[in-house]
Amino acid sequence: MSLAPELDIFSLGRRALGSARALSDGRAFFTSARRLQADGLWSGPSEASCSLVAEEVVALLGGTEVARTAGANTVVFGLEGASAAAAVSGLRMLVRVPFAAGEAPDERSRRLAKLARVLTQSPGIDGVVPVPVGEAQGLDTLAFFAACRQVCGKAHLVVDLETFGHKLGQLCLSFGADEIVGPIVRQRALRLGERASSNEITRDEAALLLRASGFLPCERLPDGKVLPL
Amino acid sequence: MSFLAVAQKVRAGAPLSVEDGLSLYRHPSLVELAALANEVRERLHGSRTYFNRNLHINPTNVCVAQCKLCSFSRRAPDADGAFTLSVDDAVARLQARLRAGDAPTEVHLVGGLHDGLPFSYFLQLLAALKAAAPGISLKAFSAVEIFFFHRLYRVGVEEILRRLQSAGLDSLPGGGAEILSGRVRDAICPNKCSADEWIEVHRTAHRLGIKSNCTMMFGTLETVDERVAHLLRLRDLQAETGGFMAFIPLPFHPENNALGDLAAPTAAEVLRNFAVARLLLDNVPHLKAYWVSLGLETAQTALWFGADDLDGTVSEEKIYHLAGSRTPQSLPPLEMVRLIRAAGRIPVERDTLYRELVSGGAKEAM
Repeated sequence: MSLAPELDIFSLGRRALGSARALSDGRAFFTSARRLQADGLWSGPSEASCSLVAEEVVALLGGTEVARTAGANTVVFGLEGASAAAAVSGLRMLVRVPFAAGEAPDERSRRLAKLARVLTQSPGIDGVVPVPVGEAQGLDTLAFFAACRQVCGKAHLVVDLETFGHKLGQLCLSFGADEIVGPIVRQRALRLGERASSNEITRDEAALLLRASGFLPCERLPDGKVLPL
Repeated sequence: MSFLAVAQKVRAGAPLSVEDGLSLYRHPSLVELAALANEVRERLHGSRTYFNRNLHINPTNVCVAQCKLCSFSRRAPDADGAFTLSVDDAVARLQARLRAGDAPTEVHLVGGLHDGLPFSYFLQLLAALKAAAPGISLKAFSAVEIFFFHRLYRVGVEEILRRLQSAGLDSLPGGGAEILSGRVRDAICPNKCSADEWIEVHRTAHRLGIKSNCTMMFGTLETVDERVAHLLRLRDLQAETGGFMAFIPLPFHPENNALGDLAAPTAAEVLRNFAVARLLLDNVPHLKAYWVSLGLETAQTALWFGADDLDGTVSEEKIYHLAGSRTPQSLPPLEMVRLIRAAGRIPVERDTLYRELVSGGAKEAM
């Protein structure tokens, strides 16, 4: 697979970064997140302000109220299920959009067009989460984030640090993303034993990722408010 | 100096000043910086992106320098984790690659400053590796090691280089430059050769026809001014000798060393250094994204931030992995080709001196 030869990553990046900065007035957000799994257990830091649950897990658990009772405050919909998102109240709603390195440009364009329709039809959706299918490639990921930014409107473009890692994740902030979510903790445990490959980062490190990308870092709190740092 | 004015100088091929360098480091848009660096990269190399087949051998990690930035060294030969390869052990590593049908074109040989080894050990090491694979290129011993040999064996730098050259040395790696500033070196690596001495070793090597690389390890205690001064010092030597082949920006890795309280440079800062280096070091032909240090995705992305080289297939890298790098230990040639293609670039297998090679698996992939 390769980037399309006509792709101008810099034009895409300039436009996407400009849109992101205009949207948030130069601010970008970090959100400590944990995830509700199908077995009803949480993975991720217990101190997380964002308690994510995928729509498929909501269905397995028996519905939104069960997930909410378990502590979820954010639902992540697939593109197909996102039209139902308007029915969910009291929870932050995100929509994930898949992409695959090497996929046909037409296929990607159709998916982005669908994302645009979903966001128009479901104005309650607050953020878009790109998700790679298979291995994420560096340049292709940045190009996809930049393309997403152009159809996101007022929705945040969210980088999942568990998926992309903090290196590629940070670079997405120069290509249209304005929020990072992941295992962000107050103080990191030593990377020893079963934590040897831990991908946790601290709040200070998260703020640095945003600041070094030219944004004013803000922390998203459990009640949805944001705290500038 | 405005970014536009700097860009005009770059497009006119004029060398940039200290003030230009500082303004690039402070420019708010990483993407604008990348686009300008990419202009230079494509002017020099188009989309061509180089890699080679190499083998890393660290003869010893016993080191008297005890630099605060290092996770690799041990002070005493009998310390836990200390090692010194015999000449036979080192040759066996090369022969294992040859037997596997994965012949490297280059051996990259760097190690600690071991004060208990005779100079003959290093001469024998080079001669034995060359004998095992006569066509192979030996890129061996950083300027820090060369200067250490000079002091330990009480032989002039030029004579040290001549003897190593006679034994098989072909080129010097670029390591040990860290930051060419007395203030920083005093703080992080006070027992290494000075900045002037590092420069003088490379100047001497170039005079003897030994090509070399140059590096900058950034992200410890240095200021932006010191980074700019470092780059311009390398540019000045290159203007004088023309002996540098590639510049390699190396972000500091904080794990398992005495500077572990420092945060590692972020990916954005790493890529900013690539872009600024490509713009300031206009007379060094190649800019290398050493994937072992950067991580694969950042290295791949660097190919649009000025870099035109991904280094090599490596194997058995120890120095960065002990400092927390989580990259693989090696990448097969076809994987290098795939990574480069996936970045929208054209893979070109090279030898140490950047002569194009077309052979083996890479040829099939290209």
